[in-house]
Amino acid sequence: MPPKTIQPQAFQKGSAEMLVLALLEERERHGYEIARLIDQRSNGEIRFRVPSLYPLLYRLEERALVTGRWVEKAGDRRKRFYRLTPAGRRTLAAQRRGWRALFDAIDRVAQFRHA
Amino acid sequence: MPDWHAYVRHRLPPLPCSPEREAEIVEELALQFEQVYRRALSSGASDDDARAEAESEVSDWNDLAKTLVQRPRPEARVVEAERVERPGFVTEMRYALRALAATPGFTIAVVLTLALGAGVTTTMFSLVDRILLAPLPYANPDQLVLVQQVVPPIRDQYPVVGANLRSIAAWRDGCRVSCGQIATIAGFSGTLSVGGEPQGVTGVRVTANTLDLFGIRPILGRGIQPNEEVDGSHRVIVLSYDLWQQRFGADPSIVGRMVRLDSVEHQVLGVLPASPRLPLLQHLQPIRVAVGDVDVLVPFVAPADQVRSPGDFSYVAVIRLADESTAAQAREELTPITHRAFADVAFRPEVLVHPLGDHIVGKARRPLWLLLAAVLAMLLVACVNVANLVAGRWLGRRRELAIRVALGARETDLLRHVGAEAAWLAAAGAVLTIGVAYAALRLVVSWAPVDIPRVDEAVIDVRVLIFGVIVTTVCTLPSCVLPVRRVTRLQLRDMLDTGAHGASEPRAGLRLRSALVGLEVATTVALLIVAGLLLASFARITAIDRGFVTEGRIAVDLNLSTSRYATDKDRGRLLDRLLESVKAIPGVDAAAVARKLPLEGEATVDMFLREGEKEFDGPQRVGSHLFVSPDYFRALQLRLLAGRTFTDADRQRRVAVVSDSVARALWPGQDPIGQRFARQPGTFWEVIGVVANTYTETLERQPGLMAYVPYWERSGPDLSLVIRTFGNAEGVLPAVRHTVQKVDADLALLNPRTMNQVVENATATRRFQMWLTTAFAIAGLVIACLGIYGVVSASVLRRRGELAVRRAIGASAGHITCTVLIEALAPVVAGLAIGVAIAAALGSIVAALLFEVSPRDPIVFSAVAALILLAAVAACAAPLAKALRTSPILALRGR
Repeated sequence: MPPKTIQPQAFQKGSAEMLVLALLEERERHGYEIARLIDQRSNGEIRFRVPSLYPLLYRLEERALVTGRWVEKAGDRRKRFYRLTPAGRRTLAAQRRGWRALFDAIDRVAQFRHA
Repeated sequence: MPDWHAYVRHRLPPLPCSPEREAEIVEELALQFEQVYRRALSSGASDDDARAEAESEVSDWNDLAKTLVQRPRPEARVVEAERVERPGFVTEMRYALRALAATPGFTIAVVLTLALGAGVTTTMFSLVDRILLAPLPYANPDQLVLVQQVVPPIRDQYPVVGANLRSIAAWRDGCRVSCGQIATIAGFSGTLSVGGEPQGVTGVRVTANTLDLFGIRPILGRGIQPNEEVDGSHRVIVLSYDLWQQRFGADPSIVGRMVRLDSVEHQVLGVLPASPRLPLLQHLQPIRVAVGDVDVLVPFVAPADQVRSPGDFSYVAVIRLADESTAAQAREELTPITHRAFADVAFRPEVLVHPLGDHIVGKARRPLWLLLAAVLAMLLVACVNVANLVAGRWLGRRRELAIRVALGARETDLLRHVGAEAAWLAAAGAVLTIGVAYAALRLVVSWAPVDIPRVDEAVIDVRVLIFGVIVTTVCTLPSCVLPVRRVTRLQLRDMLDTGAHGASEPRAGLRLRSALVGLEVATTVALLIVAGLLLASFARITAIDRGFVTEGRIAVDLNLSTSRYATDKDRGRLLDRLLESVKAIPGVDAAAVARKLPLEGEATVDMFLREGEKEFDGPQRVGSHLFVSPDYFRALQLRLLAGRTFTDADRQRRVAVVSDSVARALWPGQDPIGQRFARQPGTFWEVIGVVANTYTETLERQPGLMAYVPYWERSGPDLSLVIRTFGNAEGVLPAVRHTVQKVDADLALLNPRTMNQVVENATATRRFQMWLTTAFAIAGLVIACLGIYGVVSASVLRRRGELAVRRAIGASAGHITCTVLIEALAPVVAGLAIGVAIAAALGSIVAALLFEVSPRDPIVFSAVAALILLAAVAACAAPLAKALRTSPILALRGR
């Protein structure tokens, strides 16, 4: 039986948000690209589908952490690209700190890195 | 390929948003489906499999629709929230005012701290601005230079002297390139009689070009004309504005009237303006001279015997440089001219050319910068204290903040509220700052010793006002806003959790306030150490053995008319009668006259030649030759070290008393009694006694050589009368005035002062500097103690539960005291260490202001450390007592 992939719903809402913000930190991307990259980089462990990805993107946009814009390239369909705002960058930094502290704490308790 | 757009459009339920937005969402989702489908195809799936793969993206379209677009919150709630959280400007300001009024203790403390810190800073700014930064109030002040000379044979005792008439004449003739005009000025004190009442005046003899050179125009009449300075036959006088106002009631018809100066009728030529004034003489001469503003100007007529003399370097020479010339160029041009003029003499005087402004304020520069630094340090302490108070206020109100945040307030909303409070505080602070600055400046100007140049020019003008407002604002805003930012960053959990009843501060807040206290302590310690070093220097100076007694002694100056008492004999006869009458006054023990009193400057400075020595031959010895009457030694109780002082019986002999320094310099290892010395070869005085050294100008310089010659032998028109009384020194003054008037109705008692005041005047600048620095240091200490008190109170409040439990389970009062003190003193000790380091680093800067005290004096450093620790412990006392009194039960219940 193939390993069961982790559904984003199982994640805390904050972690999904952080994954998306982290990918947009590098450069602006469109929705499908984000979903693909998460899939690839997690070796298929985490999969974002439409119901998890787009509501999240729209929420981030509403909170002004990302901004979206339509980009039309010759010979291609127009796509909506998202990029990080300064507020998004700060939120990402804060979330990273929080997660790092959490991982450290869990590590200290469960010693899983040495396990 | 399937039409994914139609697919999505068909399945997605209507969204609660605009049709345009919905269309965009449909387009974006369709694209996603299309790309999933394409990828499946490209990885080898069949069309059906690829389609199934894409369609599996969404299983529940209704659910997706609900999450895609957030339903907007009900309109009404948003509007209400807006109204609560974002009041208009006026409302916000009103809230802030009400909040401040509700806590008058906090508001008053902040405003007073700000006003004190910023007010004193503004005062110092106005002084520094006027004294150091503003140009002199004369036309093209950069062209004005003061020329002084260095005479190699006497440079050890007198490194710099004034100009000499032979030099000045040579400059007039020879300086063609860099010199414009050259003015010669000599000071004198005289007696002005108008309608019978004599008055002492400070006068200057000036060359006709002097007023023109400074760019001063008389407001009435005219100045001195060149023909009036030629032979001394023109008896003319120009009055100062103040003298004209006070003595002549601002009489507009004064020009042409006659006044008596030193018993000679002079015609009034004109009146000088109130501003600009001529610079004070004491700022132009290297040797201390009569102090005070110039009252009268008379033509400078070079004394015939002085014009060619190579010896009298006592004149003030001010040059207005030619356009484009510099002081250095002038010096280069004047030096060879001077050397040529002295070709017939064994020495070549050097020439120093100082820009006038630099010279006048030169000595005041370092003390003023020091004071400004002290004031800025105090301002820093004040700001930190305000920050501390504000942090305490908001930490105390953090439940309120938490509720605001919970209701949706953002950090910017809180900052707006805080900003409104800060604006009120800054406004109130600024108004008070101006008041403090105004009062402090008046105080400084009236207290400042006359040695601080240009202090009377300092005013509170628009620039100073703007500076005051800016300083207050710049101090208030960060002090108020920064701590609040820190507070708002505290986690909501922290805000709501700590302290069951929300009255105490979270630990992070206390740490912030402790750090601020450490900063205050560091600044205060540095200030206290500098003040302590100045204080120690002052103590050293006052402890010096001055060589004379001051208690019960009073002195006045006399100015004998040169027309009526022209010769030493005339003056001798007058002084004989005068001293006889004064001694007869009840309460007078002894009376004496002298050319100069100790600490009031040099008398006649001349050579000390041993019998058989030639002028400028061998080691050069220069010092004061002072004429005195026999009772001078008894009047001031000068210590007699050998021999005797002179009496009336010595009138037929040329005898003198010398100071210990003369005896050691001229006859080392020999008995000085019976030895002879001279000023010029040929005329010798025989030494009949040796007295202890006295100081001539300042207690800070080693006493020089001093010979005391009887007044019947040699005297001059300017002298001081010193009276030793049986106790009430000032009480005999009316009788003395009456007696002197009986001897000569034209003789005025000038400048009456006790000998204690003479000593005070000689140390006035240092005293002023010391008290000012000490005042700032004490203000800093008080503010720092308030800061410590605040933090310890908060800490005790926060830990009252814990302390109560400790008490309940048996901890002793001593143990609790230790616990509290250790926490309270940690920032104090840290601040102390930093402050000591700062003070030690400042050592070389401070050293120049000290007298026989090391800038790292261990006693001062330890005394300051002890003081600050004691003060810190005292500041802890009240909260500590509260901690010890708290009932465990009540504390644990959180009351």
